[in-house]
Amino acid sequence: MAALPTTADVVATNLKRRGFDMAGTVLSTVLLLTLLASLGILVTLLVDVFTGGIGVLADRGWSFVTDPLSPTPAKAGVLQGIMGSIALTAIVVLVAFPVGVGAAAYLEEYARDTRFTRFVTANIRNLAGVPSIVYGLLGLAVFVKLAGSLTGGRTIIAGGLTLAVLVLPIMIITASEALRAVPDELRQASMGVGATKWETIRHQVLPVALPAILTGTVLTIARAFGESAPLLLAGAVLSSFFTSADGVSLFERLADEKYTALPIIVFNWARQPQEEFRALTAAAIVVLLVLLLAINAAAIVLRDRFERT
Amino acid sequence: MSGSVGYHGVDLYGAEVDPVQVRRHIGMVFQKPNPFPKSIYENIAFGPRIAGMKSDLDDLVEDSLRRAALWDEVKDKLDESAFALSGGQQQRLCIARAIATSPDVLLMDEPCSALDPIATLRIEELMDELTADYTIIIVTHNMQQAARVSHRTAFFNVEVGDTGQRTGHLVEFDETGKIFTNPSVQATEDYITGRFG
Repeated sequence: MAALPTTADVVATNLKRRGFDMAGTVLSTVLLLTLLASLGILVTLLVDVFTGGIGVLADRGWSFVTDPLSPTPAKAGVLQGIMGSIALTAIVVLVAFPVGVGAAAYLEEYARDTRFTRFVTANIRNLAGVPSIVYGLLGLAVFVKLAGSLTGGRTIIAGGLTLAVLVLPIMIITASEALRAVPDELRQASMGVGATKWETIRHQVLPVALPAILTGTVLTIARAFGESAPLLLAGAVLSSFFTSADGVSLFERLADEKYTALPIIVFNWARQPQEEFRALTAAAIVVLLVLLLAINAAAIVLRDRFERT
Repeated sequence: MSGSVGYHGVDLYGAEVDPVQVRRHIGMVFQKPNPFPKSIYENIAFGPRIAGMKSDLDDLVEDSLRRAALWDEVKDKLDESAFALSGGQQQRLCIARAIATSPDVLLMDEPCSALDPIATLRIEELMDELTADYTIIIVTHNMQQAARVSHRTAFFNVEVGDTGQRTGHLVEFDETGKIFTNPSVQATEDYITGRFG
């Protein structure tokens, strides 16, 4: 008669590694493929743009970046686009950051959780999904026409305000999430030593939430930096494209009614019939991407510095 | 809610009472140590600073840390993050933070429930020293701790209403010695003799 298996034997059998896990392997392969597919598309796009633009960038070097717009492909540069995009971004940050953080702070720290606040929050989320062209129409109606006496009409201020309104919902959402991630113990601790609500928010909650808010701001800037549709409606034009004389002061041009931005240049050059503009378009896209990377890098450095203190 | 919480004759739930002002007179130590994510120094200095103190914060920080029996352990690393301290040290830091604003009363909500026995002992010794200057109100589920550290004890119990809502109510309040040896309410006796709880 065979001996009965001991408990140790049974456990050893049960714990033994099973054979090949088919379902798990298939699933992880499928997940890997989805990752590779999205990466592949991105890489194809980048390679296409870089091979298209590398000729221009190699031939012209920095002069492509420092030359103004010109109807002659051999002389055309993107200087106004860079200046315009930077100025627009500055306006966006100056307007959307304080307003967005303020709105988020009110929603998260002050507003009671009523049906109305939930309605407002849900609609902010909806606003973040509204197509940018709609914001362009809004910018045209409000900042160019209605407030034209303040903004000066189709100026970079109107364009910057339009982009600021466009990114405001994203700004509010990311700032809200950053504030919500701050533990309540911190607020209690601060109130516990006699701080008022405002002192608690100002000295304890906001500093803790700031790195996450800054990350949100970076995403926001990146979004604004690449937008072209709202700017087209709100007045950005390739102002000096066919008329510019070399040597016109840049600041004169920025202060002028007419302004442009990098995405607008890309949009316009892509529509030009001449073959040379294909390469110029690709080169302009490369400049746009490099600037976006630079903004991201700067913001990450900034965030890390805040996190360390 | 019924009843009232009096502080020098003022009902703290009164409509005209400002909670911020109350918190400046009654310090609070929480169940879980919750230091600010700042340096040890800034943890202590925050309260006095918002209360309007500008000078002599160094002395105040040292004094508060000494009273909380933490000074010798942290005097060389005041600029380091409070999160680098152990749980027991963090809780003593929270006590130092609470007494830095010189309150009359210290409210401690289960201050040792997240600490090990040795850290608990240090906090209890500290509480004993602090009773010279402060009235301490401690909430605890640990009967031995209540018997050890308190002079007077209030026993709270919970009643479950018809609709399932739970209402806390004060059962008995007396000298700690009497509560633990000769309570006058049956529910208190049931609890201290371990018949429930």
